Parts: sequence; C-alpha cells; structure tokens
Amino acid sequence: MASLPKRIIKETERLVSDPVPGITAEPHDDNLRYFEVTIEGPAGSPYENGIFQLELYLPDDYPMEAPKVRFLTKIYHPNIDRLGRICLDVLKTNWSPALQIRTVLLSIQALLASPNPNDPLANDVAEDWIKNEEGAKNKAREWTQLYATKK
Amino acid sequence: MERSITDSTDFLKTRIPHLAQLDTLLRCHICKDFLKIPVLTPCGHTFCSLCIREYINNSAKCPLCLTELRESMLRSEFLVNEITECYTNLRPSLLECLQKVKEKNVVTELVNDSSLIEIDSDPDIEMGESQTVSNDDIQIVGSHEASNKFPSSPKKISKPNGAVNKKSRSTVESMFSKTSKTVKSPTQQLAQCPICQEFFPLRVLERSHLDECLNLQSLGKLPKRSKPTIIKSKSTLSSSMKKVSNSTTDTRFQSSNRSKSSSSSSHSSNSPSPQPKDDISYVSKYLSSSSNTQKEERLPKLDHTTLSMTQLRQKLANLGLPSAGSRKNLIDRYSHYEIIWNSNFCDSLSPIDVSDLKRQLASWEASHAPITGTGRNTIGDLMKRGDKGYQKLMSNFRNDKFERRSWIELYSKEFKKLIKEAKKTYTKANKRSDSNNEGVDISTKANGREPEILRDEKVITEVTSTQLDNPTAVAELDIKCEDESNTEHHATSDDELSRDLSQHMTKNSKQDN
Repeated sequence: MASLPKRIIKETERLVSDPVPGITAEPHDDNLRYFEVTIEGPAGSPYENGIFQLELYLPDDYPMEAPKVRFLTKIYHPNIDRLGRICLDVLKTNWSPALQIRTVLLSIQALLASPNPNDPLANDVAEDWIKNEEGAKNKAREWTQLYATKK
Repeated sequence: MERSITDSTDFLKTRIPHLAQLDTLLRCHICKDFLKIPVLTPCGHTFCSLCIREYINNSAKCPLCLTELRESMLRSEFLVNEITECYTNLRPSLLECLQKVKEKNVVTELVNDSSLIEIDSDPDIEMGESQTVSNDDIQIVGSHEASNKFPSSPKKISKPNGAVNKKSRSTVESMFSKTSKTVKSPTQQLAQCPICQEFFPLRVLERSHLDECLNLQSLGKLPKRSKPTIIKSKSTLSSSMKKVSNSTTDTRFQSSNRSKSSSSSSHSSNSPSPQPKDDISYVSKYLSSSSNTQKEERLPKLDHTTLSMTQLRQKLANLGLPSAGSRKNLIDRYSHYEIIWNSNFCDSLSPIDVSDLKRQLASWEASHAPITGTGRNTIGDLMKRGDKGYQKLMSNFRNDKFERRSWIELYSKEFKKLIKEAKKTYTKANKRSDSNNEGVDISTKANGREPEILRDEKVITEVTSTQLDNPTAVAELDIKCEDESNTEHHATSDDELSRDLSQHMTKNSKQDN
C-alpha cells in the first residue's frame, strides 16, 4: 500500500476538526482512503429531513483522479441510479486536483437541492421528473421517508 | 492521526489570524503544501512544478479555471519561489512569536486592565497553548474593534491588538525581549533591539529603529546577530510549535527534491530552532536567478503508442534507467522520469544531480507498486516476519533516504540462502539434463535467451534498490531452500550462479503472468 499522501492526511484532519454543516465524513479504520459519509437532505428539497449514507474512496492517483463516490441509501433522483452511482461533472470530466473531498460532498448536496433531469443517469426517474414534476417529487419524498430517515 | 502537518489554521489561534490567508496563498492547490518550484500558467495560476506537470500529463487544463494548458506554457516563478522559501523558513518563529506575545499579553493586561478579563472555564479552547502561563483558564476577550476586525477567527480567542493599542506597548518588544532585563525597569525605557542587539530608548526602537533594522537585515547588510533571545525561551515552546518543527522534517520526503538542491530550502528541517539561518539572502538569490543556466536538455514526451517494447527498452536504457517490467511499467517509468527531469532541469533554480533523480524515480516506483498477492509467500510478509529493521528501512526507502548497506546487512542471511538454493537447482538441472540425454544443455538454453537473461540479471542487482519485481519468486526460492538446505552442491562460478538465479526468476515470473 502506497503511503498516505500528506494531502489526504490534511484533508481528513480538516474534515474531522472543521466539518461542513450537514455533512459528515469519517475515514475507515482499516483503510484511510475509504470514507463513510452522510449527507443531510437540503432544506426545501424533497430530500429534506433525510440522512443519506454514501461511501467515498480516494483512488491511488488522488488528487490527480477524482474520488469515487456512491450513494448507499436508496434515493429517487434523476442523476443518481439504482446502484447509487452519481452523475456529476466534477466527479467525471470536470474533476480538478484543486477540488477536494469537502467541495465534492458540497456539490453532491447541491445536486440533491437541484436535480437535473435533462442530463439523466436514471432514465425512468428523469422521464417521470420531466412529465410530472410534482408527482416525482412526492415519490422522492416518500422514498426519503422510507429509506433515509432513522428508525 | 498525525499531528505533524502544518495548516493555515495554525494561525487562527495567534494574534494575527489574517496570516492564515497568506499561509493559504503560498500553498499549491494540488498538494496543499507550500509551493515547491512554483510555475506560472498562462491563466495566471501558480502550482508546484511537479504537481502541475503530473496533472497535465493526464488532462491538459488548468486545475483552477479549466482552461487549456500545455507543459510548454509553464513558466518558472522565481520570485514566488523565494517568497515561499523565505516564508516557510520564517513560519515556525513567526508562529511562536505570535503565540508568545499573546501569552505575555494575557499576563500584562491582567495587571493593566482587569475590566477586559473574562473567566473561561473551558481550558480546551486554548489548545494547550497557554500551558506555560500559570493561569491558563483565563482568557481575554479582545476589545470590540478587534473582534470585528477579524471575523474569520474564533470569537473566544484573545486579541490584544497591541499594534494599534498604545496601552500594550510591549507589542514588538515583548516578542523578543522576554528574557531581557530592561523590560523590568520601565522607567529606564531602554530596550534591546532584537536584531542588532543594541540598546535604544523604547520609543525610538518602536517607532523607527526596528523598521530600519529589519529592512537592513533583509537586504543582507547587517552582520549576523548573535544568539537571539528567542532561543533561550525554548522551554516555552508551545505544542503547536513542536508540531511545526516535526512537520518540517516530515515534509522532506516530498521536498527531498529541493532540500538537496538548495541548501536554503533545507531550512528548518535541520533543527527545531525557530531561528532561520541568517546567511541566506533570498533577495540576492532572486536577483541572480536566471533560466539560462540550464545544462541539460528537456526530455521529450514519449509517443508510446508507436513504440515497440524493444524501442521502449532502448529509450530507457539510453537514459540509464532499468528496463524491466511490463509495457505499462516501462511507459509509467518513462513518463514519471520525464516529469521529474523537466521539473528539475527546466523549472528549478538549483537542479539536483541525475543520480538523485534516479533515486527519486526508484522510490516513486516502490510507493506505486501494486499490492502483490495476499499469500503468505510474498517477500513483504517474509521480511516482516520478526524483522524489526524491515519496517524502518522500508519507511526510509519511501522517504527517499534508503540505505543500501543496512538493507544488505539485514538480509545477508536471506541472500546467502538464495544463492545456495540457486546453486542447488543449477546442479540438479545439470544432472537431469545429463541423465535424460536431452541434448539441450542448460547453458545453451541460457545462451539462447541471452537478452532476457541480461535484463533479469539487472533485476537481481536491483533487488536491493527497488522493491522486487517479482517477490513471490524469491520467496519461493527461500522456502525451498529451507527444506533442502542439507544437500551437497557443487561449486559453480559466480557467473553461472547468477544466471541460474535469474533463470529461476524468469520461470517464476512467467508462471505468475
């Protein structure tokens, strides 16, 4: 295992000591490149009051390569598919090493606040979203209730 | 979690929290560390030469604004280089001074003005900084203007803004003359200048002399000052100070490039002393900097799609690099070498030697080696077994301070075993081929495979310097050897031996592939 770059240690320290409101990210004990992340659904969105679990992995080439992020909690969102994969530019083509874990997670939170059905990953959801936005939002709310709230 | 990493937030707890911004600005946005050999992009952004070159290698755009960017567009920034070096050099003492002043002012203001004092029951907030102060539960809430001025700082942190405030005249002076006796007799009003060690009336010192003195010093016109007073009060080093000095030694891995290249950049890594070396003049270094002093040509990019394996090997061999490994290994090796080469010879003011570059390449490869097999026969496991020295050596290796000699000493037993085993298989193979009358003598076989073998011999010689290309092979050798170590073997020449060992390794590596 390649030794942990200083940058990752720094970022982790920052994340723990000065967390972003509504987002937690904790490195796994066995693998400091693997983070367990939770994101609160943004207020005013259908995901409000939900707490979504994600996993984040920093590949060996990080920060030259984007971190790999995936939703673990089921979510009804046009840009997130059934496997939890996320369609977000900063995770793909627009990744830049000047970004960091913090900014990526904030972008994901922003994506929850403003879904983009015109650039879909989950086609059925996106279709639903375009045809009947209110209905889709209700369904998203329902799913949030079902899967993303603590029992 | 390691506490040895410097961060701009270190300054938030000092009396000038705005320094955190300066600290951030002097850092590379890719590695988040202080800029090392900064280069400027046409879009006006600055990164470490190595960081940005490595990134451009994959995608040709600026990490900050995503505009198009090619390697040829990068320009060295000598000024930023000197600024950063100067700053990183000053940083530990700056931090210490700012913290100490705060502590001191806590005490002074206690005496002067008790109306500003608030008792705080939470000692954690001070992060142990005030351990040296007897009353560490007492904090001062900065006067009103101060807390408005620095909104970025935590509210609880005391900011006796002495610079503006006449009341705390001890500002500059107390930074340095904590141990100076003159402070104790305020009526006398004579204070020692921390730079030239002369005594002046306090007012003169504060108003004009310090400025002049600092200016002169920065221009290198002043004689070295004798042991500064700050050092005497080392015992009051706050915890975060220690953190800083640790981290500077820690940074050496990444900055080894530079710490070797220029004596100036090895700055505070040598001693925990907060005092920068006096004999470095960043100004004159900057003035004499020029990009025309390059001795070495820039290394061209490789068009690896059109090159055959043999051509690739040829290229690497021409550069004196090892040419073992898969195609991908070769390409990666070349492109990383190209990056560090160009960064060193095109951007750096004081390039380091080619042999150092090669060592860097070796440690880079070691740290990027894929995790090999989970079986218990990997060389890593073999060596970890009961070997205390291994971990240390390995970490040194990653830190680019690998010691070939101690490695050889540590594993001399293993190496001897390997040679023994190789001897044995060689004689066995000879016997077999004799008895079977296959007609193909092992040595002719070896001759037929000459180029490959030569290459693999290289691998063996590199066993000590890079991580083994094929650890399992050697581990296997070792294990077999334990079983059959009692059998006799014929004496063979060293040459034949190493050939045989390499054969064994090729065989094993083929199996693995």
